[in-house]
Amino acid sequence: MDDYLGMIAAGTTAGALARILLLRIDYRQYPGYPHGMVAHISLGFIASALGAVAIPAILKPDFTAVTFLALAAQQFREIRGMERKTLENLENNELVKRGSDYIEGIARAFEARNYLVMATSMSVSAAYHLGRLPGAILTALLFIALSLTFKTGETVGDICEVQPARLHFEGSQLKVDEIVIMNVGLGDMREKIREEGLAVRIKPKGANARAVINDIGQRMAIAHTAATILGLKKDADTPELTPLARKNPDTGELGLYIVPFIKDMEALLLAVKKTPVLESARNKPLSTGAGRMAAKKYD
Amino acid sequence: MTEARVKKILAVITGDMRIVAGGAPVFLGRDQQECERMARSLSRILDAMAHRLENGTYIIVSQ
Repeated sequence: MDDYLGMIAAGTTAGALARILLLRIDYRQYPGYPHGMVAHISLGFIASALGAVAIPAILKPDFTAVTFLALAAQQFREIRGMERKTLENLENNELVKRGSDYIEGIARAFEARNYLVMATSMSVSAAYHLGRLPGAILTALLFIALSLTFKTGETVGDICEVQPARLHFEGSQLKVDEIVIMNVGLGDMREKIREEGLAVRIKPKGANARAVINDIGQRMAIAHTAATILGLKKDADTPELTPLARKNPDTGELGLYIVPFIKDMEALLLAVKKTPVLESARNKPLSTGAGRMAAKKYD
Repeated sequence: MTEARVKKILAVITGDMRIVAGGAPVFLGRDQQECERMARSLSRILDAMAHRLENGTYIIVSQ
């Protein structure tokens, strides 16, 4: 007789482990809420249990039992809705908005992670059937490593050069090098920004990268990440101190301005570099003939 | 960042009533210092941004 219990236990353990490893707080600073973590670990456990029973169900043979995987997919779509709703509700009280692109990206990641967990537990239970414990352990390690590479993704530092830039005023116009950021009307605010502000320049490496950082959602994500990590002097009544990223329309380079709580250029550069490239911002104009033709003329 | 939202002029502060017209409440300052002080107060009160136009007029813009 097949060791159904062993298969299910191996699959569930591997899946739950994968979910916990995927939950580590990263530069997104999310999820930072303990109850959110509990909710996600529990859902991950359910996902891995569902994945783990699929193979024993086929062996039984009870083929119709596999249809509950479809039900599970439905559940996970709801997770995405739940995440999106939570973050949208919190968005109103954020001093620096995450932006809807970032929220959508996070929500989609949570849904996708549950599918990864299900795939892991299903494969591990199959491996346990074929290769017993050694096979299961090997497959678990393989899938966890695979899931973790999915998790990391590209960051702004991979596709752009980030360097310190000069923050200055031209009349009441705030500029980062030659890039106009905004008009600051009040003299004392201009003084504060001049003394305490920091600026970086983000130079895209090639046409694909240019397309990514031209995305407004991506720019909001960069400003949000920098603000979360360095802190902000901004309060609700000082909108002048909102971090902003604007582009040079001729070169596609970005200028980012921020008045951080801790004025540390090295930390700012690192925070910008570690900002994840959003899925919705990812564009590959160079994959098309027309895009390559256009890029050849420019770059 | 507020790109997605519509900005709105909440108040206009000027030293010269001849160069402004209605549309938003207009505040008259006697000199540049008074204009700037009023702009600062209004910006804090309304949680909005004070911008200075080239002709010395300030506008308070909601975010």
